[in-house]
Amino acid sequence: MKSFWLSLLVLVLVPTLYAEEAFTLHDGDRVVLIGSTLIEREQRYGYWETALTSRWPERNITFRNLGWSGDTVWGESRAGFDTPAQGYKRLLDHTLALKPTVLLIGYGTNESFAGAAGLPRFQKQLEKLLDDLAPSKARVVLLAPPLAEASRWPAGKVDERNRDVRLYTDAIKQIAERRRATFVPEFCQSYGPAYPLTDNGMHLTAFGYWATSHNLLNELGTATGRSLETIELEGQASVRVRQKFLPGPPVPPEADGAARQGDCFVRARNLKPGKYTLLIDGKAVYTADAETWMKPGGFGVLVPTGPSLEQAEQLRQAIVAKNRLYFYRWRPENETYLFGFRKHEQGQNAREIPQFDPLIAEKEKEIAKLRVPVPHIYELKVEKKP
Amino acid sequence: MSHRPDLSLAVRRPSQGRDGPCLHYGLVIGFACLFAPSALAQRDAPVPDPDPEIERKALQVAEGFEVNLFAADPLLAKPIQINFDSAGRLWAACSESYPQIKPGQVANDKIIVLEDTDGDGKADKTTVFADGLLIPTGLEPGDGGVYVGASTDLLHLSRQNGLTGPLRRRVVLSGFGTEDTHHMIHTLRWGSDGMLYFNQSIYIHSHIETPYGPRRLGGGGVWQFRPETWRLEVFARGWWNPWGHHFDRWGQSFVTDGAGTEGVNPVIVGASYTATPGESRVLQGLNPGHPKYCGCEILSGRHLPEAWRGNLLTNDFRGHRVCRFTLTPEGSFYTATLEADLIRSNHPAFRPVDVKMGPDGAIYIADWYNPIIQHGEVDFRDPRRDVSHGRIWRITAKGRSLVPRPQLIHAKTTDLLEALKAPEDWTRHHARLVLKERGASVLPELKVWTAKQDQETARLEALWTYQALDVVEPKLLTSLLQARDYRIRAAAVRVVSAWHERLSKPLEMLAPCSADEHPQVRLEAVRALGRIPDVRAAESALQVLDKPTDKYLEYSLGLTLRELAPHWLPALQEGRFATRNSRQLLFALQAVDSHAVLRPLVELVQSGKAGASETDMLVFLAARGGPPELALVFDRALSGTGRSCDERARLLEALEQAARQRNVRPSGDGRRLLPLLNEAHERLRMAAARLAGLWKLEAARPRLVELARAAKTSEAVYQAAVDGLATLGGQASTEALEKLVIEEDLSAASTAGLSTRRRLALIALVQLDAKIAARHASALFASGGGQPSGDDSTAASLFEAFLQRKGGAALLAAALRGQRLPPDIARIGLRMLRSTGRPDEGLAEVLTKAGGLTFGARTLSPQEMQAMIADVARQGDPKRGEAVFRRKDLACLKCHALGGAGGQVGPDLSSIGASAPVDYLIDSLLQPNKAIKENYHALLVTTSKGQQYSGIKVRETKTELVLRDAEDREISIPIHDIDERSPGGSLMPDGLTDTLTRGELLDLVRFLSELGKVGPYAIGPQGVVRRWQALEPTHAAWTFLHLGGGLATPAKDERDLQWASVYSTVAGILPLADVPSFSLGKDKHAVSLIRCHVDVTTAGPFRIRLNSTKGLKLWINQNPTPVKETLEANLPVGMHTLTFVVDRTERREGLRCEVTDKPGSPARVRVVGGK
Repeated sequence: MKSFWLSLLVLVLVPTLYAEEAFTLHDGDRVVLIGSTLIEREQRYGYWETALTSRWPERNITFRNLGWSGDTVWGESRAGFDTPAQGYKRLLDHTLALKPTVLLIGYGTNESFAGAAGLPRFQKQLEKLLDDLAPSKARVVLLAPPLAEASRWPAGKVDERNRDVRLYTDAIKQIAERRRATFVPEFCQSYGPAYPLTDNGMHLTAFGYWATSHNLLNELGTATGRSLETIELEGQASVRVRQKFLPGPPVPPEADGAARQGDCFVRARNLKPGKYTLLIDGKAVYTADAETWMKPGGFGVLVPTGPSLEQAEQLRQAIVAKNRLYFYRWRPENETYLFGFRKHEQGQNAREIPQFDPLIAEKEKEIAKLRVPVPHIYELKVEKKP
Repeated sequence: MSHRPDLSLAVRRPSQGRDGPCLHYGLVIGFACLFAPSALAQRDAPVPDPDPEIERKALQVAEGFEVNLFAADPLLAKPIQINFDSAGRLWAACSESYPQIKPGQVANDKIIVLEDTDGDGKADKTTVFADGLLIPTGLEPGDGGVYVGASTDLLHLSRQNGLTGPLRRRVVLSGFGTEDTHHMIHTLRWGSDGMLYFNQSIYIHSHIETPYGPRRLGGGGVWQFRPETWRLEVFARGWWNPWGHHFDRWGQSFVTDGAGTEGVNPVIVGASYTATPGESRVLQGLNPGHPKYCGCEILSGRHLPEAWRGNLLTNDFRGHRVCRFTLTPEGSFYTATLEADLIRSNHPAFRPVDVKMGPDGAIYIADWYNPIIQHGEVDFRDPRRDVSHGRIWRITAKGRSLVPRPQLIHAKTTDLLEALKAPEDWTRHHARLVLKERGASVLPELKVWTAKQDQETARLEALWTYQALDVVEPKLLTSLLQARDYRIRAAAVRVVSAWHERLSKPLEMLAPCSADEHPQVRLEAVRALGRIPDVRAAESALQVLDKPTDKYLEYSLGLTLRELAPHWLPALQEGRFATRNSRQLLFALQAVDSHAVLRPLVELVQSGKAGASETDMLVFLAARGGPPELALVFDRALSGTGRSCDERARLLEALEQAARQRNVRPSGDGRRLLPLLNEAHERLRMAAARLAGLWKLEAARPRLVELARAAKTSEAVYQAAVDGLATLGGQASTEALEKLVIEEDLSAASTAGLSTRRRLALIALVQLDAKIAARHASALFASGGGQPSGDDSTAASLFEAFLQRKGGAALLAAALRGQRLPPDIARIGLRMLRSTGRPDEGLAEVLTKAGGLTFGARTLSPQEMQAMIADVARQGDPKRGEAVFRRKDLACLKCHALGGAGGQVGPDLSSIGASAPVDYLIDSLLQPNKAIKENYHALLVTTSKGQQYSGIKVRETKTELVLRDAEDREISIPIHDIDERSPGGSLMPDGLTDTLTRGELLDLVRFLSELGKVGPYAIGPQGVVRRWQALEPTHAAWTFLHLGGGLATPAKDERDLQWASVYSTVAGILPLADVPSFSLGKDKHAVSLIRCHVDVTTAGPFRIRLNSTKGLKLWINQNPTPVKETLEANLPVGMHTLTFVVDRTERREGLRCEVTDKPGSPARVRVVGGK
């Protein structure tokens, strides 16, 4: 499976050739994600948000995920005890209340089960949704719904399913073009993954989110310069380097080693023959012989662990924790008692819910700190022969 | 500390033991020592001594059984669901963060695995399989790990090496609702078919993306999921909290409900049960009036006594009981009879929530161990909530050997196949699961083994194994469709349904089954046909009408016809639908909610071929049709030929419903109705009068006024006439009604009859001009009128009329301001007002002042509450309290039932004492709005016509909302009339206890606190008559008894007789003091007439047992029956009346009557309860 991480790496490293205008997030941006299961589950894994966050380490960008499993452009999953129309209103109210400057919208998956017959209804409603969200003046990013994954699809002919998905994708694309919104083409299956991204042909696994986070940046045209840095070392001299960006977080273990994520690349000059161990901040991380350090293929020796990688994982964990706290805040359990028709029973407990706000703010401070790479000292040390 | 995300689970290893509990133990014990003498610091629910041995001693186990502690804290805390894996290890889903995560708290709920490695009946090894979860509410081991229902997700957790190695966490399905944490997905079970079943409760809205399209379920129900194909479907809908589900050995499933009060529910595939949102066609459980149940297990195996095998166990967690039912097939369905409990206890924290058979043939009970049971009534953060304890109890039969633990995991495939013949359900079930996990590799051996089996039961197991492996095996299936045992045929039919897309001729396979000799097979066939999208499926299903049916078969047929409507309706319109007779066609047409049925139905009526069902068809047309169809109904109602007056009246009433509920009237000239206002037949004339108003027939007004004013008009017709005037509306109607009010006033309001008319006119006037009406009402109330002969109903109904009018309360308040009212009138007004659950617009203050009353909700300070709790324990007397509870002025039983007998407005109180702390009981009495029981919140509705209603929602469909009001009446409100709805409070009025002395209140609370606890106030067995009807001392009754003399025919003609409900005490005795008596003859011989009803569902001999025969005469239906302490009856299927004449001079003691089985008899008899 070595070829896989290499192919992935290539995708990460080669500046994108597809996107014409690079999409940028600005300092102070509030990104609100809406959509169905694809969006909802992202918050549990956080790979996309981590990639977008660490892309602009100097900018303060905050994310709020309002995805809801099974949702559609009608806001069907949000109706609760009320009518579908109120579910839709809730979708608008929740989104607008967050004062988004960027809307990342991932709909179409559930709607596409209605096939060609359902398409006009979908188009009309997506337009309506965008109209109704227009007062936010947010920049809009429309994601194509993921294609079904042939190797895992359990429900009949995958081609038939994907025909419908493409039908809806085209509709979303046309609407995006007409409205000058950013359209993100399918970036899961169309990247030809060598390892499955889903386990039911439909929903990204943790690995799926990890793998596609690179693709997302790529399709947004923002992957430029977002590659792993190559640290150049001269002999055994130590250098202090602050990487420009954090690397992506480590690969989730379920990928069974099918892909790897490193801390950085290292390339050295002027080494005498022998085995050399790379120390980062004095901590041994990787050993190879001089030949390898000096004449590695590609961009250098991929260093498999290191403090930047650890920091990236800490960042992701902080993002996941923040998202979880926010989930408790906006979609708390026991809503029936806290705010619904049983609030006269246990509504007094609703006072706890705003107490999540300071906890979320605290997490965001942590995220702001963690997204910025810190300098580390890199050096090669020769191994004494035994 | 910040929240730790779930992902880090992957790097956590299971930890052994924890450091907290020991410390906690010490604290709890110390606490108990300090405060035990007064037992007050924690009010009445002192944290009990957590020593498991103390709890064990408090468990009273059924004769012949014993209980031992299998596992306890600190090994596990708060187990919610338990399930065994095929290796015999017991898995438990444990939640300490229930009911709600605290801000800043790190969710750290666990999946625990308990092992009894040395087989001594005690767990000796505990593994924390996973932690960091948020409220896991259910689990089921399988597929190399465990499926866990946790909040929004169904997860699959696994570890590389079984219980060790890094944890893998997969989200299998997501999007389950969390609106109420004890409703989240729960009760995970592998079915006989190898599919994973799990349930959700009523307030949950789930939206799940699947590769087959989104699946949505709002409300309770059972999900069915095949992990290999990711196919998720709804298996059945409904219930409040279906916290129990199990399959019997024939693959039939049974559900118990933790909030509905209907006991055991056999499941018909695809059916809707009680409390399905938006569905009016629902099935009920088998045991109305039962307490809430949690968990469900069907017993089997050699360890248990034979009589217990096939029994169903479930837990009355409120009443600290483990309950047992015998299940008996009856017709296409079952009966479930409550037997003596397996366990009962008074330990306040014993909360059995799950029950499972173990690999050793013993019974395992998960004890949630908590003095507080849920979070609707008691604050999320109530300090009495236990978060650290939990027990697993093991129950064995004394002197019977245990079953050798089956070794399945490493068994050879041939041995696993042999295990499919084991007598224990546990072994067969797990052998099948292990075979399933081995996958296709077992198929060759399965084939060889199956060919060798000639026992039908073994072949059924083989069929299920194929189904679990998802491999279609038509030959085996076909052979089992011919099985001798109907239960196996029924099971095979269900497999046809599952495989129909992959079978070549499913319709041909099912057609003979819908004509099977056994109704259960016919029922399965009807449901299986519903899945086959073909007009011939509907034709086959309708065959069941050719054989005797019952309500379950008819329900199933209706459901199937609705599912197949897209196929047979167009065929019908094209003349391709082959029904054999008009009965089949009418059934099909009535089953569907489609306008497409109207035309064929009209044609059928017009053809004159409808025969005896023509009136039924017309009523149906009136209920669904538009103006042209209604015109046909109207025509038939007008013409007197070939139709009785009652039938014609029925048609007019159906038109009335159409006008009221759907706002539709017949096309054509409505004035053709006018002549009917002169009809001699009263019912016809009344219906015409009401319709004239609804249809706004101006020309009818003079005749309506005339009808009202004619002295000889009966009260009923008078009411219809003033109703007609009120709905007709207009200034002229207002004037006419006001005139009627004034005239009635003038013509001596002294007799009850006239006063009733005045009230009726006034109520009608409220609808037209509440301001004028308020002026008259105020005068009437002030004069003491409206309350003749001690009867509250006159004043009450008048108050109600104002309260149901938008702004009516304010207008009445304005008119009453500064008046003096008789205190009782004011009391009635306040009671009515408070029972609406609405803001009072100033009326309460006016009434309180006008009546010179001091009233209101009372709150107690913490000190007062403590003092009261102490006094309840010290001074409260449950016996006196029961007398208070039964007092007529408190009318407790009007709204609350005990053992299913009593009103249905409020919760059944049978086990309230066992579940609710005393402070909760006191609060509920003094401030009914403080904590309202689950499912008992009023809904306030305002209609576009300015009417206001409040009540408990019974059901809601596309066309109507049905509420149950404080008077226990069902009110149907057309959806299109609803302007506004809002949540209200309790229907239980504040100030109910104002008339009680403190002593009486203490007694009442003490009585309530004893209800359901082991002792004299536990509701006894099912067969006791708890709801009686007593003959009311009306003039008609008196005349009847005088003329009847010898009381030869007490129930022959009861048209004018009034019977009022009276209820037995908790002990099951009807005190005669509560029953009116009549003095007859010269010697003033005092007698009472009381009766009760029994519902016979299977005919056969049964027994009626009386506490004594003294002074009793008995009629069963019309037949005098000699009275004996135990007498035998044998009655046909249907409702029957037992009427007792009690000689009051001879009999002083109360009456207890119990219906019991006669051993060996098939009879099924249920005593009718309710209001």
